[in-house]
Amino acid sequence: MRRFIDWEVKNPWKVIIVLVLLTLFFGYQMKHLRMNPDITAALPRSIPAKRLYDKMKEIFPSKTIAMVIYQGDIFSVQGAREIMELTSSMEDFKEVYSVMSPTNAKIILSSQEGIEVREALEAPPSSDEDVRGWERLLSLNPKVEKLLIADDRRSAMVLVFLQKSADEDAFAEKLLKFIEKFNSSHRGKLFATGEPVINLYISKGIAKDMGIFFTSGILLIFLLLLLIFTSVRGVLIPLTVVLSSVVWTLGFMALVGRPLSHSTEMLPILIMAIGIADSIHILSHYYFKAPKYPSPKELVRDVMYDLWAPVVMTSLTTMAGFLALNTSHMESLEELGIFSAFGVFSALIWSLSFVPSVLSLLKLRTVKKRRGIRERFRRWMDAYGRALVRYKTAFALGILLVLALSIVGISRLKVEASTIGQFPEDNPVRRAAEFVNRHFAGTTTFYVFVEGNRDGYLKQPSVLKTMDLLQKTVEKNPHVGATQSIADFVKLLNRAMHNGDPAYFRIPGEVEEEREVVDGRERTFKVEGEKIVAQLLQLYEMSSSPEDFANMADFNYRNGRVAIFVKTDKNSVLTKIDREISDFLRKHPGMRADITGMAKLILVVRQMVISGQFWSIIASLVLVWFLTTLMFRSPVLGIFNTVPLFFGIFLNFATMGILSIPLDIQTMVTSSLAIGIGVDYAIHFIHRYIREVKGGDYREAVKPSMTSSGVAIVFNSLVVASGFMLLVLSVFKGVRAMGFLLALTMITTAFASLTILPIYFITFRPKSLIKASRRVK
Amino acid sequence: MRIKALWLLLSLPLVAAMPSGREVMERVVNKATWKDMTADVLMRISARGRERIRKIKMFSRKRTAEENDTLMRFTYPPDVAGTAFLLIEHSKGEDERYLYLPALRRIRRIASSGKGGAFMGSDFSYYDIGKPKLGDWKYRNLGMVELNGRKVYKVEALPANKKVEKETKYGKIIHYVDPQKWSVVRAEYYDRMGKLWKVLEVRSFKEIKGIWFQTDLVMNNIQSGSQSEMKFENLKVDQGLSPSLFTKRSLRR
Repeated sequence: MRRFIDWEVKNPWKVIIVLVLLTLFFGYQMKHLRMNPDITAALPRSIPAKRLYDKMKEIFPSKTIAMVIYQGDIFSVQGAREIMELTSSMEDFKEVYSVMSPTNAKIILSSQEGIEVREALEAPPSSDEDVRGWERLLSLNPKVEKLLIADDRRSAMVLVFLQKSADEDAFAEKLLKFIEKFNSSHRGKLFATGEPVINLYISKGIAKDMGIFFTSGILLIFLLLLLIFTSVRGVLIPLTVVLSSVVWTLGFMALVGRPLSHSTEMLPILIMAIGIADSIHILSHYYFKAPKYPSPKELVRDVMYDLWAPVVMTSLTTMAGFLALNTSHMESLEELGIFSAFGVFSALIWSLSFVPSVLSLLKLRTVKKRRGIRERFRRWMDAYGRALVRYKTAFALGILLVLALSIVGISRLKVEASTIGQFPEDNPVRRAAEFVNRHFAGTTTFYVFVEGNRDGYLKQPSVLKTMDLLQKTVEKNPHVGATQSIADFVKLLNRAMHNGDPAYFRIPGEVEEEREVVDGRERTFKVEGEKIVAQLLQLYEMSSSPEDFANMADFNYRNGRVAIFVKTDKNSVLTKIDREISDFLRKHPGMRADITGMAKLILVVRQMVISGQFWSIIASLVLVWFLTTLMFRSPVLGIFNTVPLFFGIFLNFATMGILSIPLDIQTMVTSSLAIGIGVDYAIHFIHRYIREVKGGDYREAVKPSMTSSGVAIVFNSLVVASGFMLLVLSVFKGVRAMGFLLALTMITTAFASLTILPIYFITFRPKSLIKASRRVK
Repeated sequence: MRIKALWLLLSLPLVAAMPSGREVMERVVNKATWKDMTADVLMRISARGRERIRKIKMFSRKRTAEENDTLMRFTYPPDVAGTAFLLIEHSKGEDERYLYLPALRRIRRIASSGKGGAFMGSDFSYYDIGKPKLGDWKYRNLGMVELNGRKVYKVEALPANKKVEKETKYGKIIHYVDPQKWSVVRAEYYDRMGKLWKVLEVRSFKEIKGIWFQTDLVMNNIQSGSQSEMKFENLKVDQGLSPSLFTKRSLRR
């Protein structure tokens, strides 16, 4: 390392040119950076529920659905006309494959001589009578009615299915513009939700956040640097380091083809907040030593000799904490871990190469250092150190009290996985989703995926009856808004074939006794139920578009699914319904079926959040312990390094419990990140303390440790925490919560390093510290 | 020398008279036609490595120049064997459709408003298999191209109005017409965003009395990856089918 330092001080231009070229390269790559709002992408394919979900999506290549809700007097001449117009306008969009609305929904009518499949409203109504007729027709298909008409009958849902090749973002954008225009010229009012709309809002949110993060991050760093250094180089050099590190990281992401998600969008802030520390460290030292040196090259060389080891070490431990996120098995979090580690690594390279190179080119200037702030800090830390030594029992009791109170908070910690909950309460997407949950069937869906072992499996009456029974069973749960399956169609068709006789609104039995009239005389005959089902489905295929149930059964009736719409994504409700379904399936082993759907994935995410949280904390603690053990050549000192982290994590979870911030896919990252960053404070303190404790006086060593590394630690934690606080400006609640929690944990780990460690040291006088101090030259 | 000049002169109008797109499609649609027809039809749908096969015996006759009667009897798979479908077209008013379900021993007239959509769950839509209405499309002859070693006309069809576009869901169709057979040999269907959606390939023809019938049609859905095939076997025309075949009574056989 020393040889590299000697070389770069002699060849600063070469270093700078290489760095600039690399930055141009990564900056160019950033052009290809994409955004990925897909929440399910976080799940690894190895999870059974996710694999089943992907398989189901392959068998039912159901088109993406946007929901447009019409609010107004729907069952009036004008309302009906406006919904018809809306339906037709939706079909006008080139991206739209088909539209299902209360006016064009298919109704099966039956009479003595025939069956009619028609649209609920075929021509614009001109009288109230027409409207009543339409209302009556809709009521003949209660499943469709439930799906498309609100419970208070004051709003209607129009489902818009998109063509496979459609650009969903572009469509959502156009749809929102259309709605704005429609609302200004019609009596009814529209709003939209559904996957493409939600994804558009997430993408927009990510883009907006990135803008805010960049500008506020740069501004904050600029102000801080100005405050600390009051010099041009003191501002520009660290700023260049962090911005270039961000460019490298985002460029690297684009290079390996990974998109920005609402987890990785916090990378710029993360990298800026962490990456700034090393260059501040180097520059402070540079200014501190400057008066004693005649030429910049020697000064820079000596500064780097002093600092390269701690700079490398703290960066490595931080990276280790981040990489521990890889144990979470959630793709977007693993990405956050890998790319933030890459960002820290970039900042390390820049701090070790760019900073000394530039400084060795610049003329020496001994700025009149504004020692005011630093001096004041030093006095405060000195007082703090003395208080600590004198009232150590009070301090210790205080900390124990805080920990005891924390247990109460932790006991109230909740785990929630929710997509829509990411948006603040007043966001239009969230309001729309909540509206649909309140008045329609619901937006969260379980699918019971029936996987047959032969073609035509679904035509068996026993299978259809089980599906039907399952639907009836789960519909008893008040949170289930509606259910849907091919069994509904079979029942409707069976009734229609029997002249609308309500006794036939059922699945045919294994063997049915049917009646026929021959030559005026009635006689009965027996027939297999499966044949009846097959021919009823054939009837529908011949009389209408079989695409009507393409999302309930596949083309050879081998696989099918029961859709269960739930009116909330509250994890406790979903868990209960999940249990009801699996109980049912266990009691009916005759039907080959399994549970999947977005609702199931939410529960899987929840489970993974819990186990991922546990394992990533363990992994990062072990990694940090291992690295600090190597660093201090003592496993006991390694353990000392992890003690403040336990305190920080403990308080983090307690705060979440008290403020009811749920543990979710975002906030679970906090601990691992906090461990990676927070360990630096313990390292700095112990590193210093070992040097001060040489004489064997544990108490006396506290004061100088406080006034030197203590000041740096407090300073650094405040800088990093204020950086993380910028995340509070995010559109997404999870990111906001994370920013707050990260900032808090920076403060608590710094506090713990400066309190728990010295108290322990002066109370128990560990021998390992003295042993370590003997190794120091 | 003079003879050669004369020959050139004679052939000139032929070269110049490149037919318009509309003219090509008119010849395709209005080929000299048949009075009645029977065939065994095989419909094969395959997707994701699985397939579904339906076999149908088809009888059809021209009742009038504009109106056909068609009887379809399903023979495979066994659970729908015996079901029969009768279509009586009416150029004025609604077509009559009847279906016989042997399991219930019942005949039902079925009425359906919206046509369009997939034909029997296949990749063929009702529009793809029906007789095209020339007025629905704006045709343009893009000239001769070579396809599988044969010179064919490439004819572009754009929906004549928004309604056609919405109902067919097509933004453009390219027909490849073999001028020897006056039959479409290949067609490319584009969705409304201009992306290729389906490709029709006609794999075999049968010539009866100078008319070329398409006997093996394969539709590949590029966007979903599925494929449907319609195959006509034992195709016979003008056998003097009895009109009583096309009545409700004959549905029960």
